[in-house]
Amino acid sequence: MTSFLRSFLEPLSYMIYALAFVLEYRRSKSMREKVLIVYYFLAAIIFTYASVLAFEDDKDNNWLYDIHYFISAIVFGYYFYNLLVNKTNKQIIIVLFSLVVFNFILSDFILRHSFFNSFSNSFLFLAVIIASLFYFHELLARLTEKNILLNFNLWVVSGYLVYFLGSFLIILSYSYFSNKLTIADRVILGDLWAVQNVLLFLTSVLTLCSFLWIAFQTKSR
Amino acid sequence: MDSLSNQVTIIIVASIFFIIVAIGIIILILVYQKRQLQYLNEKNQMQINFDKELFESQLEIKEQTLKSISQEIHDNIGQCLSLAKLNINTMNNNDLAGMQDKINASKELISKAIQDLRDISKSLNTDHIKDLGLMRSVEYELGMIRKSGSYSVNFEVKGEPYRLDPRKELIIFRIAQEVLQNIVKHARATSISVQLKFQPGLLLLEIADNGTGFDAGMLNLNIYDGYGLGLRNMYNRAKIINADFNLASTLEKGTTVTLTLKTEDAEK
Repeated sequence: MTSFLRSFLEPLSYMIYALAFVLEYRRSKSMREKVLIVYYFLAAIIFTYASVLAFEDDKDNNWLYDIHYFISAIVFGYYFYNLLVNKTNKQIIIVLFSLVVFNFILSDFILRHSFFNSFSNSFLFLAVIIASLFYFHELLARLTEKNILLNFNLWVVSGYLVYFLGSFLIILSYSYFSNKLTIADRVILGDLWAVQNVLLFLTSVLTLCSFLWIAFQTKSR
Repeated sequence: MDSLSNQVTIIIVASIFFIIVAIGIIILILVYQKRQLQYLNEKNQMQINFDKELFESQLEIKEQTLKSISQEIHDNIGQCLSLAKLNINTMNNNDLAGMQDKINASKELISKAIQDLRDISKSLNTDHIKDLGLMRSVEYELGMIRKSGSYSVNFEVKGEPYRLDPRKELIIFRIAQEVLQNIVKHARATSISVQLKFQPGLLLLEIADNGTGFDAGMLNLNIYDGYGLGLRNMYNRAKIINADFNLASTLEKGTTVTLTLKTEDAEK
């Protein structure tokens, strides 16, 4: 069970996210959702492969995490750039996510970081947290008569905030623990990762449920 | 190992704390958004009520205008024209001198009727009042009362005059008009004193007479409920523009009406 939580809960969560965005795309026909569908399917494939590598052969799978990190930086940057309305906020998003991408190029291509880069990943997490807070700020600044709970993006961004803020310290401390631990201690580290994966799973379920709830509410009106 | 376990536990506890913080932020945003929306709805409701009161007030002003026209036609213009008709009917072709007198008298009566019609038109025309502004409109109204010769009229303007929102100016003018009409109809006064004070951020209109007055104690603590439709209307109109309406009266000494309006939006 622990090994499942450690290895396969992550791709499963991304599949649930992908399903939620497929359903939302059928309703909204928006390019933003289309990009997220591709991203989450890709993430599910990447992490399934990473899990297989780690689970069966215990091979190095950090390069898969790096690819995911790079794609995430671009996709989240695109998502929040499209989601936000305020011009200044949009510009901040461009700068923030450009720095995340630049950091990836610097650490992985120029400095050739070979192990899991905690700093880079937590930088991406921080960027998503800031972007989520910008979104909430705009939500308050641009009041509409519509019920805010029927806004699918509110649930998506809420999920992001819970996941990215909740796992920020786990990601940040991963390298520290990895360098310090012996192979025997990796069980403890696995538990730490399991917490992050459970959180990802819960937020993906929240996103899917929110879509179903919104659909039910909209139909019953 | 124990130390490592403790460190992991600390990270997990701190992460749980962050999760709680994230959920807290979301709940706060939802609650704040709900309250803001509630506030916005209340504000909209207040605006709707304001517009409704303004509309009712405009309807009432129209009613009063028609009543006033009817009264004015009956009391002044009708009388003048009836007299002119009587003069024409009683003209005698054999009495040329008498006929000339009657023609002259009829001319004067018809001229007076025309002038009265002009005065009514100007006094009631909303656009005319908006063009003239509050100060000139009050001055014009007082000029008509002065012309009747029954009152000693004093009009004083203090401070540098400025214009207000035309809707507000019109409402203040209608209140002033109503007060002046009440003086003419009921006060049995011989003197009317009107003061307009233009202060920065504050406009004050004071209308005082030396008439019979009434027992101000009868008034229901500045709310004027149950006293009279006219007073209540004036109070309601003042409330629409967020002005303070005060009435002080002493038996046999006269009445003073004061209207105070904060004028942040004054166009200097």
